[in-house]
Amino acid sequence: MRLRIHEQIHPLAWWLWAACIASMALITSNPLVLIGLGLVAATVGLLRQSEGGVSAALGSFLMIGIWVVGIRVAFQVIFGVRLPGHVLFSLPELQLPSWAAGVSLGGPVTAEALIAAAIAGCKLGVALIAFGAANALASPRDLMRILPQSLASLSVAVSVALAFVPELLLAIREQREARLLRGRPVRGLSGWRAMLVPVIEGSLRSASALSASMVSRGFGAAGAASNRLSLPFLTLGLSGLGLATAGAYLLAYPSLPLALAISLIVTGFAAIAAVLVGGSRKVLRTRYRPLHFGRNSWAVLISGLGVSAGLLIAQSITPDLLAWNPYTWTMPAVSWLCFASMLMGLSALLWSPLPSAMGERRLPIEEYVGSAR
Amino acid sequence: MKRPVMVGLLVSLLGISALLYPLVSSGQGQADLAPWLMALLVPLSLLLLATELSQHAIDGRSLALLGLLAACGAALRIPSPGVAGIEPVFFLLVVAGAVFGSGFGFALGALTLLVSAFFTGGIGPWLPFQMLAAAWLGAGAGMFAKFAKTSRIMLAIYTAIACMFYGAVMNLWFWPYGAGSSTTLSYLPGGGVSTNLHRFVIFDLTTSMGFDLPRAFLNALLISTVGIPLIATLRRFHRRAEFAGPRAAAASALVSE
Amino acid sequence: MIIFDRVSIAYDPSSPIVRDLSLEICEGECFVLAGPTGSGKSTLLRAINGLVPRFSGGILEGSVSVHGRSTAQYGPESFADLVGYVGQDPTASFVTERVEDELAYVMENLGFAPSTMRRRVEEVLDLLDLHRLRHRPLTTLSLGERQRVAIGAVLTAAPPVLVLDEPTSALDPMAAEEVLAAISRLVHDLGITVVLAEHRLDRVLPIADRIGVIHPEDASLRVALPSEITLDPRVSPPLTELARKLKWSRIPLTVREGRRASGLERAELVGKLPPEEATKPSKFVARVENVRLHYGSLQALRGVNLSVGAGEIVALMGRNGAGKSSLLALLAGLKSPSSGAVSVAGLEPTAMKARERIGAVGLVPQNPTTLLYASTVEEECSSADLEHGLAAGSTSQLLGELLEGIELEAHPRDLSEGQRLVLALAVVLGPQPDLIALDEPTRGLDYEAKRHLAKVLARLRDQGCGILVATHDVELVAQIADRTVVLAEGEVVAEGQTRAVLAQSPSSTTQVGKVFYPDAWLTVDEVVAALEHLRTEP
Repeated sequence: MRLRIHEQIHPLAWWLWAACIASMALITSNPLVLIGLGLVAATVGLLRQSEGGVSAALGSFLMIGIWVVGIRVAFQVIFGVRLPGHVLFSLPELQLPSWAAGVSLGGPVTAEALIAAAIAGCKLGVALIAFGAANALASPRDLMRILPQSLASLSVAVSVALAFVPELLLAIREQREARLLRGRPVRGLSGWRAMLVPVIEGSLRSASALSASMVSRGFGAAGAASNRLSLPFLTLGLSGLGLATAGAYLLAYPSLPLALAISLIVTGFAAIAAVLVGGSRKVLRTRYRPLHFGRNSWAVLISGLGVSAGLLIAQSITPDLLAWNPYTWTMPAVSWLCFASMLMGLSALLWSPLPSAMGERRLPIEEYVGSAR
Repeated sequence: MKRPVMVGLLVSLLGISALLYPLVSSGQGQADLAPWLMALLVPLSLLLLATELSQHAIDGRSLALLGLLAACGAALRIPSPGVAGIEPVFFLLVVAGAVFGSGFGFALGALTLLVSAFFTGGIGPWLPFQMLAAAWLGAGAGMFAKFAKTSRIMLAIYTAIACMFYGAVMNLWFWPYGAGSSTTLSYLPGGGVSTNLHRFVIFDLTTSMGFDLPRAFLNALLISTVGIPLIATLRRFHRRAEFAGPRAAAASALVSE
Repeated sequence: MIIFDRVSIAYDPSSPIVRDLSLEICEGECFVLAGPTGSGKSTLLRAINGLVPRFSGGILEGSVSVHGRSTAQYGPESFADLVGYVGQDPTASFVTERVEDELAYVMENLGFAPSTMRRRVEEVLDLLDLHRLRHRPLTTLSLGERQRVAIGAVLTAAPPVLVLDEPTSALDPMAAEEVLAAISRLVHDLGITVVLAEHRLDRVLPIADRIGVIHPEDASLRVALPSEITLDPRVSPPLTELARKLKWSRIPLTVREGRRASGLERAELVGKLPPEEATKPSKFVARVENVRLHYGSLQALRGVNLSVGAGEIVALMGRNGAGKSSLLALLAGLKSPSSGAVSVAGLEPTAMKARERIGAVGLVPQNPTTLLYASTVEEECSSADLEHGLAAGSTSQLLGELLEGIELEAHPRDLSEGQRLVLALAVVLGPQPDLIALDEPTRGLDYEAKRHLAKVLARLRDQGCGILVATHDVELVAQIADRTVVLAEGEVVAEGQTRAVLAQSPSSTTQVGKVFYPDAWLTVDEVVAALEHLRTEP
């Protein structure tokens, strides 16, 4: 039986899946687990990119991840706190005066320190890969489609901006050509700034035409008063924020019970979610093609949760699985349960549609001009 | 005080507390988790603010203007993407904030960074903080324009300072990730405000001066050459919009002179 | 249906657009609004759905109501289900990125159920022949397609009234035909009330029920049936002009009626075409040899050969996207050809320094406003004088010679389209270039302005310039061009004397040409002159 999946996965499912992977990456320092998580995220991201996916999102996030690793290692080498271990090489020591915070530079660089720094960087790197995968799988454009209708104005503002950028680039080109026709300089600062004001003026005029078109098509028709986020809702939302923040701060006080902090946090988040979702009920605006959180989306979400659950269970069985410490100078532990969790993450491939063959190729600017003008 | 302003202030407060956490944290207990929680809270709070603004009867003209100016800003950021880069977008935020007021400047800063994320690689964990920092920059421009003369020099000074401020904010966000917890430049959990502040300043100086200074310089230069005519153009548009009928002008919660 | 009750509209109290207007537009009527450029057609249209005064400003006295709903009580957003307003620039009105989403936008705002929205979108896609484009990003559509999407975007709400502001002004004749055919379908098959403003009355006369002409002198609107319209020459199409000059009893509205009415004249004029001598120009100001140009994978020009001589006007015709603008860009030195040679005044334009280049070729682009930077006309002229090293006041003098009545203190953006074109032309003419090129100069110009432009260009030609005009306006080409070159898909498909090229087929010639086909008459003036000549001869 061939499984052809046609139903689009809800963007939230992909982002939650990626969040599971990212959160697991952040709490583990086991390099093998990290590599596994990174591979899972990258593979699924590459193979299931959505049509509107930001091209090269994965690539650029990977670059940033590598850069973070590099910075961490560099900092460790130059500024690291020295702990005993297998010394690889030594840098000349330098103690900065007290006005420079008494920072000490240099000193012996141990292998353990380097590995620890690299691992710390990789944690972030893998989390970033997960972010990159999320962007490729459910791009920001897709996320706009699931914004609640109470945020319709935000969605319109973003749409308008996205639609305008190519027009802007065309307008800049027109301006540049006009300057050439007048025999004026186009390069350098003076050329640049002389083009800027007319382009902005053009945008302002477009803004007038655009807003007239929006209003003529009913923007704001549902009536401001009925849309208003009622005061109780707003208070609920704000208190939710306050509670969650307080809970986060309380985490730093071990004298207070952890349960208190956690319950504050959970309550806070719940309140915020309620406001964001519930605030849309009174809005009269509807959605043309609503995205449903269907069975496949649930399957993807469960695969992500499976990764987290699997690794946490493995941690409880094999202690120190996730929290590997390079200073112990032992091989990191792995278990078959880890492996199974990774496979669980990869299973998202089964439930998601292939990148459609009908994907729109974005034409370069010249081709817009050729076809449109 | 108007409701959106209040919500905006609270959201900003949350953002500040998320950023300052490393400075004041005692480092004990489960303090490691806190930054991640805060990082999740900030975008949620921004969504809440957006909901409040959406339903506070933004009029069509302000919204269209927001969108288009955000597009201009995003276009300015395209050649220089990334967490660190020479970004000539800030002078535009200052100009818009100066003409249309703090509320508009705040919204424009946030929206510009959000839209540019679509073009420069996507939504990353830095985005909510970039949005907040740019929003503060725009709002500050509005307040600056109220109390100070918008002359070339003053605009350039504000822009330069604001860009350095933006750089410092983003660096503060990056500090725990970049320096970790085991270097002499990292934040010391439980080390108290002054020690950590000291360390942060050194960290800032060593890492981002290479980006912050050129950025501040470029934006200040741009605003001193283009700022005045641009402000005049925007003011002319604003005046014509205000004249366009009582409903259009009054309904706008964002546009204030 | 639409009732204007003693309405006066003005932006500036001293110069109202209309005064005390009372008008009723009936259900299912197609009402065309005409008037010279800048007379306020847009303003009047925007008053129908309340954009004026609530959104666009201005002072409105009296009341405007649609189907009983008055614009005084409700803002424009409340009219979205009653009035579909389509502004002048479709691109500037798009809110979303794809065709389908744009069509659905109005219904989302009005809170329609998703199933209704799906149904309506399908209906409108079929009605306007857009189903092949449904998933396309809006930025990849041609102008004609965008215009249809903009119309569709308001139609999905099923409004009984459709208001269109110059729907075909930016389109080439083919695209304009498609849009007008769609509008005609809406009027005749669906009974929608349509109010539209249009310069090119010859296109809309066949479908109009009534025509209202704005007379700015006394701020009045005179309404008449298409057949009885004794139009101001500023707004009358060639066929009407012909009928007027030949004193026909009934004014024909279509070419078919024109052929029936002109039987006598056609018989008289058979074979009486004045012979034409093809003059060979003394020297060539511009030459393009076997030139190719591509943008990425798109071939804009494939092996084009063209030359323009001193003292001749060459018309460059072709659909949008055929390569006209690319060719002009090559001649103006804005681009380099991928292969082949371009020379202006004997040199390659891209190799010339700026000063030299503007002394060799002056191009007025499609949007002439991009050439204008100053805040007053005066400033523009004086800065042009400085830049080109001319004596102070030369440019403004030149401007006065080209067109009278332009206020020196006016902001260039406040001028009419025709005035801005002439200002741009004056600026470009300052350094006295050998080759003058114009890209679609007739967009937005009324007949009067076009006639004036023709006179200006003829005068320049007589002074020895070589002129190249890229346009799809056949009437202008017939009036002034000595030679015509037709481009399609980047290649030259026809070239020669204007009369020969235009009269090749009945669809490519002027309105007069269509009436007199197969005789190759092109303009009203030459027909009238020939008839007079014949009739006064013994």
